[in-house]
Amino acid sequence: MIVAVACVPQAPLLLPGVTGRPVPEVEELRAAARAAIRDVVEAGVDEIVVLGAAPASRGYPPDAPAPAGRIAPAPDRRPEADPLPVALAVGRALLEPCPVPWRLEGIGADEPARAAAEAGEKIAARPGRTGLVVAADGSARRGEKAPGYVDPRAPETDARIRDALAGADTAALLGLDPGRCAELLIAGRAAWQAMAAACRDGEWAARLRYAADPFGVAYFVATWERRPANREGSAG
Amino acid sequence: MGEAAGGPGGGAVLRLRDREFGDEPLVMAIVNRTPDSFYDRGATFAREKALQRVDEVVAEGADIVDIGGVKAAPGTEVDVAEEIERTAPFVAEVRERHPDLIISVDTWRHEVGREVCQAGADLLNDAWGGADPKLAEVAAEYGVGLVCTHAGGLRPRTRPHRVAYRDVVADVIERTTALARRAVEVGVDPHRVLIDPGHDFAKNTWHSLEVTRRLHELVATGWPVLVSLSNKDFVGESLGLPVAERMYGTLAVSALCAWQGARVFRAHNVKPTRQVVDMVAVTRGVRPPARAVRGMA
Repeated sequence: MIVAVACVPQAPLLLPGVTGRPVPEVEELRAAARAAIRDVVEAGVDEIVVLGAAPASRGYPPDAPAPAGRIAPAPDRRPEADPLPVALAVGRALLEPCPVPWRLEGIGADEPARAAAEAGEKIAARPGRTGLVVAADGSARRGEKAPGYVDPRAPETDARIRDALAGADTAALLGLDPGRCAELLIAGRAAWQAMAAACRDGEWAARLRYAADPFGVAYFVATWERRPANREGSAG
Repeated sequence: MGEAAGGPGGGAVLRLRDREFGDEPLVMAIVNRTPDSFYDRGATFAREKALQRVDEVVAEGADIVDIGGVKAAPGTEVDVAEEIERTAPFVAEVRERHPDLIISVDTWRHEVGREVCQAGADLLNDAWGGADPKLAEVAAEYGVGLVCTHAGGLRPRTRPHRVAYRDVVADVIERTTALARRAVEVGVDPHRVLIDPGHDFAKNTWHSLEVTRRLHELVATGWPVLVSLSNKDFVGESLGLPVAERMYGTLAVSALCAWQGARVFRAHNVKPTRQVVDMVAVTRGVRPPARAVRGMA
């Protein structure tokens, strides 16, 4: 069963080394994300499942290369054969070094809400104490300089997601409209819905640790920890 | 690759003062304590002006200052005493104002070298191809660096006249690496030795262009390469421009040399040179971008 969740962004700029010199806004975000994941690992988990958008809903090899050489080719960083989807590579990069084994689970970015929920339920059914790292982020249409320019509807939808992450509101995440999210370039919708379905049962202590859009994309970092009352019922 | 020529090896560490440098380019700012140098024509001959120039070039990103007391071209005789008077007290003053700055002195005379090393210099820039062999011994004695320049065997402060080479680049490599090996033999730290093809020195414009095109052959010797291109006549003759209008041409050849792996760029125009060689270094992948986020958010 899932005992703790960290939600982190899926932006390629979080892959190690791709910004060149350290960029303060990125380092602040990275620090928040790594701290959130550390809390999950320290919740006494047997394994970590990294969940993130992928071309297909399936597992990926835990040691597959990150796509850094495709995103940021350089003389010492050539394009990789069969790299991970970015979201999974970012989640794994923020996780490492990790004292427990991890699995990488892709969720098709366009999966309908129901399929996303089913993927989440499968993860929830895993034996032992599972920690979940969800690589997902909000709208890329938050301003004139945003990657997707402006959509005036973006702030309202992002605020709904932010509040859901801050309050462990699984129903709100499951209720996100895939069509609207796609229009708003919200890349994390399917992953969040899988996460929400995986966490539907139980009480969670939620903490929002970061919410900002330094590059025009809504980034959130949050942790959910299962409350002790539920932890008793999950023993074994 | 550099073993045949005796260099410490391609991409080797360059040591200057108490620091070590990899492939990232360094900018050496020219500070003339001369009344008659070709580009600035005495603008920083006065002590205050020269100190101000040092402060400015440091602010503009120079890694090294190269202080010279005698102009390269023929002209009024400057004797040893006069050259020392122009350089050594000034070196001491710069050392006091900028304790960490790498200070080079452009001289071929060992007597001058000794005085400026005592005053705090870190590098002796011998632009005249070892005309005074004792200069390398002074560099060894004081543990400072040495620039070994190709001057084609010309005496100091003489102009090329009807020069011809079977292969100018081969001659440059032969002479500069021989000087470099000899410097190491007399005790100079091999990581503190640079070679300089000496653009315009004992070369007509065609020779300087050939050296520029084939600079990678010098880099391949393994010795760190310094280039001194700034506003020189080969740029002026190439573009048909007077001294005051050669900056863009200088930057173009600076970029070509940076692309081929030159490590130190001696320059009058520090800020644009800094940007050009840094941009080339980032493109080559030997320097990280300052801030790459575009398209990756």
